[in-house]
Amino acid sequence: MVPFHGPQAGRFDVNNNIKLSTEQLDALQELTNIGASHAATALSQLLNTRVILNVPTVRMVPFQEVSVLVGDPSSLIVAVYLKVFGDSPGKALFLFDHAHAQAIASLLVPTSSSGELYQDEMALSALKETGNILLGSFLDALVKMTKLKLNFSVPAIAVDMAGAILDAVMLDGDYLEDWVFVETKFTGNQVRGTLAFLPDNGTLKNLLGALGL
Amino acid sequence: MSAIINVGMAEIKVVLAPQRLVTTGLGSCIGLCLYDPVTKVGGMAHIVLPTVTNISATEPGGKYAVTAIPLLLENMLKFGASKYRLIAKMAGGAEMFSFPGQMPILKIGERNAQAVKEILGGVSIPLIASETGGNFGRTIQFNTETGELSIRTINHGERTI
Repeated sequence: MVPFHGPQAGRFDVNNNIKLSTEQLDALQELTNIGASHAATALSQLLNTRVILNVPTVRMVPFQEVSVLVGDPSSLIVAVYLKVFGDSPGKALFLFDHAHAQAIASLLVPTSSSGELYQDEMALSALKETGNILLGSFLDALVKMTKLKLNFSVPAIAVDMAGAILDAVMLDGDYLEDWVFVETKFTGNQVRGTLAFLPDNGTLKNLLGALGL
Repeated sequence: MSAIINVGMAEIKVVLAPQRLVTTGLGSCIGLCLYDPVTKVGGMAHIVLPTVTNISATEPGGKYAVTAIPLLLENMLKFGASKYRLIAKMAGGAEMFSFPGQMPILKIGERNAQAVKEILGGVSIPLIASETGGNFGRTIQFNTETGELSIRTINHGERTI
């Protein structure tokens, strides 16, 4: 599992102009929960194993703290990343720790070597697709609930230091503001990971608007 | 034992030997080191973006290359470095994810490295070594006794520049 030790849910940076009410936080949390449960079902079917979801958290993260979101910024993780376009643009990420990524890869690609994951094209492709299915079902559920129009990019994958991956995701798109970070953890016999959705700066209101808040 | 000082995102730190400077997990960001080999004053900036149109006063000075380099230089001089002896080294500026057909203009790591080079040129500080680009993260440590910058990666080995 990728542990998150970021700021507390609902904590706001003094410089931040986005203030979320308890009602809005609850709604985002619920939205994430439903989206993530769709993703969990998809994962469970794909791997034929039980997947448990934790209650999602919604939090504001100052950009300087992003690299420590996954605990140790030097820890090795596998990240699948989708860019989201349309009415509520943002970034969707699924983070596996390395050991669990290897476990999933060996379930999906039994011939995959247990050695260097980053060199194993088949394993990476299987993980990329796993992340794509997870994030895709999460975003589909979001679209159904909000009636927003969302498109998303093809998935990209990286196997590297958590800090480097998060800094690159954060800088992608060239703006740099504090993030609203919606994340939920998946646990199960063989599956552990974290799904995160990061609305682009200022677009959270579109998501909230679609929920009538 | 020499202390190791961590330089977080958008931070600038200046130390005297034997203290060392470290930044963990650089992706598209740049770790820029300035060094005076005589007084052994070493500084590091963890630069996030090249520039911005509106810099707000509340933002940390180390965030943009355009603000970080003058600030790092100013602090180096305060610590007793001579501007005419300063040398620079940098690492980082990777593109961690590749999307097919992505426009080069979006390659933020490369643009960060380019901005740092240009600004250093503008203040006449020689960039004597750099290790930027690629698709992998870097953890860097600057040794203020020797002026060596050690770079560790997960899948691409280690090197010292």
